[in-house]
Amino acid sequence: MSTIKIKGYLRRENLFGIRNHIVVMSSVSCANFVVEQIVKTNVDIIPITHQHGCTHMGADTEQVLSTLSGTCNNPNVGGVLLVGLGCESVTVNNIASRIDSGGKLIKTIVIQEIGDVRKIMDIACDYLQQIKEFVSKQQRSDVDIGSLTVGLECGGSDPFSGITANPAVGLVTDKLVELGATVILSEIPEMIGAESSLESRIPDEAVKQRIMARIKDYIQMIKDAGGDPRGCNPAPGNIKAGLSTIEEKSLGCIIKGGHSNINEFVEYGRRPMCKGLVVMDTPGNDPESVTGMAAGGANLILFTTGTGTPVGNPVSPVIKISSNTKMYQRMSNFIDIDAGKIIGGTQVDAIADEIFEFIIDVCNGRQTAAELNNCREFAVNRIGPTF
Amino acid sequence: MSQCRNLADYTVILSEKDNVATALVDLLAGDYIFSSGESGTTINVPEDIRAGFKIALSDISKSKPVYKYGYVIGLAIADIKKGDCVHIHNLISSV
Repeated sequence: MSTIKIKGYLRRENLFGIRNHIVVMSSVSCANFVVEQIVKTNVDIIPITHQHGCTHMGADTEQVLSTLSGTCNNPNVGGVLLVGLGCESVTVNNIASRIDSGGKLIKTIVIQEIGDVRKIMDIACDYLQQIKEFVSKQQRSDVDIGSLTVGLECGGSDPFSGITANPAVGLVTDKLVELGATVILSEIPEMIGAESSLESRIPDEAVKQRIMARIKDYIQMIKDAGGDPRGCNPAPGNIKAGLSTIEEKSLGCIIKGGHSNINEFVEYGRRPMCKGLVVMDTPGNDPESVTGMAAGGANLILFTTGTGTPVGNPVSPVIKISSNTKMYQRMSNFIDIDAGKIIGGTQVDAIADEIFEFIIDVCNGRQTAAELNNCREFAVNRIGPTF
Repeated sequence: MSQCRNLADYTVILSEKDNVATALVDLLAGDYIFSSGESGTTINVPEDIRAGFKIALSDISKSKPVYKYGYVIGLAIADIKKGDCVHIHNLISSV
């Protein structure tokens, strides 16, 4: 147990939130309108709408369901109002049954059951009032920092990402792991070309095989799609900044994971079982990857960027770290910490300390740039077609 | 004056195995002293190289691997001369 304490909301034993969000979520895109109406008169809630919830099948439906329920299950959420249509495949009851009600209040409404639009809005407002009262009674208490789950992401990488921001985040990862936290390394396609650097750090043979097989799956997907990953990954912006190949991008990317052993391979949007460093099966697409980690319970996300991006998440505060000062100055209200100072002579350790202190502040309530800007991207990594 | 410029002041080499360095600031064309171990050689940079872009530290023949971070980041698709910028015009992923 570490001696570093943060303020957290107890959801159940050893599970704490650093926010006490009220989420209003549609179970299917047909119900988005109600969520959009509710948020007009309730600005303090977190609306989550999306394009899914019906006419998909099998493992893809499971992926949607576990991402939606996982997001509501994130310990940063204190209350949930689910809005369904009534004839969809991912129903409000499907989602609600997967949410751990420990320390949370969950309410559901179904449009077809109520019918009248005014009645729908009245019931929604009544439920929201009950949720607000429930959430307002929840108190924060001192929590060991080791109970945190932290997600890692890079988006709009440039050649400085692997020299400044990612090495600094790597040191923070090492420290968090040492303190007993769970840290999620994501973005499987951004491990292509970095296999040998990762392999030696995966002690469990089965975990190693699964991660290596998943990287191979992505290489096959690239080949199936025409054989040349350029133009897709690295993205045009990466190439413009000086990154030439996926291998170069990947090797810079995985530095975020520090030096610890990798203990688990976690499915997209599922909660890690192990402490320490784990790998989650997410794509390189930033909103989809961050959504997967937040659905897996990440309390916060450390997000490094070279070309700059606003991407946030509805439930998990995203801490943005720039790899170069030029971009930081141009986009300073999207960025929390400038690791580009390393180019000017600041030590990597000093930036890592700055990130670590910022994490503690964010846990204790400080708003990140993404939160202040209401950047709340939500995107499910779909694995099948819509019919 | 250009003879005095030291490549190490403008670039970073991330591993001893690497045959490219990354420019930390914009690198103007001209001659640079490149110190490797105890010996120093001169590298001529024929064209300006923008910050973030890679510079070849040795001649790299077509189809030979390019190393950065100590690992292969791709293969040369043209003969690359020491001092050349290394990017998508002369380097391709080996995936």
